[in-house]
Amino acid sequence: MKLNKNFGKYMAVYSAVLGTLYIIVGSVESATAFWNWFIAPGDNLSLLGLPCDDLFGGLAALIIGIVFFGAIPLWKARYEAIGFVFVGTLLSATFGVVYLLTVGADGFGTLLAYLCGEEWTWEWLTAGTLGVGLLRPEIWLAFLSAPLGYVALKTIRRSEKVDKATLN
Amino acid sequence: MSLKAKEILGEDPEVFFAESRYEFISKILPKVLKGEKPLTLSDLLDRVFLNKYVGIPIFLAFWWALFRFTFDVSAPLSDLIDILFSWLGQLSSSAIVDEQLASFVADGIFGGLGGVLVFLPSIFFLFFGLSLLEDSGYLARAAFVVDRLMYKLGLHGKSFIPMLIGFGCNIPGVMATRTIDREEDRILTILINPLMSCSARLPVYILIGGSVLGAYAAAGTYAMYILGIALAVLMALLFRRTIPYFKGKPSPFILELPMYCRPVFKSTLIHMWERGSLFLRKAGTIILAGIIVVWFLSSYPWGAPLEETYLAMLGHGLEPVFRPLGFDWRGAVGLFFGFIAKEIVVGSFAVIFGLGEESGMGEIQETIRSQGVFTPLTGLAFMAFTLIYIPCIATVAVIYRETNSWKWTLFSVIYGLILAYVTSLVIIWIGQSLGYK
Repeated sequence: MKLNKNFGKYMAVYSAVLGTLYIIVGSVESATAFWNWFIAPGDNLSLLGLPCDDLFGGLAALIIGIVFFGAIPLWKARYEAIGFVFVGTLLSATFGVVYLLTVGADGFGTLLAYLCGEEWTWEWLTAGTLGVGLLRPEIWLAFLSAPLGYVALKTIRRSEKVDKATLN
Repeated sequence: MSLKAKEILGEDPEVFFAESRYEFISKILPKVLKGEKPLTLSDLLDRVFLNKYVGIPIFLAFWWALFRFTFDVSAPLSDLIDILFSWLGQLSSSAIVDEQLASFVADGIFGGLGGVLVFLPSIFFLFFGLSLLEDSGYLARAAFVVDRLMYKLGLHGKSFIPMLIGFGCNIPGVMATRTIDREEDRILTILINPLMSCSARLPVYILIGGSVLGAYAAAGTYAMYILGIALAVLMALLFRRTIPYFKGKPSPFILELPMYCRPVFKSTLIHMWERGSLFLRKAGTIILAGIIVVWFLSSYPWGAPLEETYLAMLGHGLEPVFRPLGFDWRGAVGLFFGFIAKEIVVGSFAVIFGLGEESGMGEIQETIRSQGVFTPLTGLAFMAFTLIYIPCIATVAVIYRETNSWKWTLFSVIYGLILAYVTSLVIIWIGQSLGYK
């Protein structure tokens, strides 16, 4: 399957941008968590308003960034690299959904506490289990990567159809 | 038969047949197909998921997402169950006039069952996530990706899935070894599966870690998971090299990768129910019985102070064994009942401190701290002991059922106890030599 050169370039650039953003977020999250867990416990060092105690969440973001960078060969219209776009989007969507569900679960927990007589608070939206609630960048990066994943899937499906027609 | 076939063919029959089949296919394909094989979505995904550099990191990322889904998303449902059982306990104690019966129903049945059923959402969420991964076709790829690593560690590629499931619950973990064909590889995987830290141990880590490790509580809990994996690897290597039954290399891992497919919600739910309901059955039988025993021992002779109850007598009897590890009679009782099920440990501490089964985690932690039950060092050793010795009586029963051998069942219990004791002792020695108490 030959990929349109310009189309490949757009996808490669979009993937590289997403990859860079994920790598920045992942590096900061994992580095601050490492600092707070092992080097200076109790410091609660936080950078750029990102969560400061989610080491593995940070590493996961780094992995997503690396996967998006695997799509760079699309710049040279190498169709095989489109798999990296799709998997990167899949991972990004997985974490986006899990984090959104976590915020929802925090909200439900607050509602339960309210029904049991505690005071109602909106803190679950901006703090909660994720530390920063809905401000967790991975949630918004998942929305940002969704169009790329959709385009990648459409391209793959179109290519499969073309190949089938050629074979027949 | 298999040995004879191996002798004749000069290699494992499974490998021989797989190689022959694909040789035959590759001879036919060029004759019936022209041009390059078109790349399908499955091929493109496999290029990434099976990639030698990013394959394992991608799997670890999915695994982490699954853990967050399991523990964070299910948390309010656990709270809901907790609230419900606390309410039922209060209702029954106010409605029943007889003091002993009221205590039995409120503390023994509702308090005990509630303490266990709070873990039900986490377990169902874990199995839902695992079923999604399995039904989509990814889990088979994950097994394939880690096979190289597992093989170097003396384990079979298919050992990976039972080990992964073991992080949820060791019972389905042990049962999942049925997918391993060679008996030696299967039994080896069964023996090390209890070292995978199941979800029932997590409340113990949270309780003890939160009590005595302060800001290091999360790192302490994480260390237990790593310790479990490290010991499983070490034990696998040790058994492979020292026990004649396991000697030799693991059999080759042959797996026909299934096509990727979109999971069907209904079948994922069915898979989740099939696995999760095992825990529900366990809660209704073994765990409930265990909790009732703890209630009985801590309540009788009726009206006696805790120090004079049967539970205290049992604890004092066990104390000398655990003294070198720095655990007093209360720690000994916790570990004793943890043999029935780890879920009982937290409830046992609540009973021992006279807080009632339905008391909150924070209250028990505060009591552990204020009464000096554990120091950070002995707390860590207690967590390690909890991790290593046999997970629960139901796992022992499943090990017997799966190995069909008392010899291997006893071996798994005894080696687990010895390893737990030695590891905890090593933690104490190292800690003391570094100046900790």
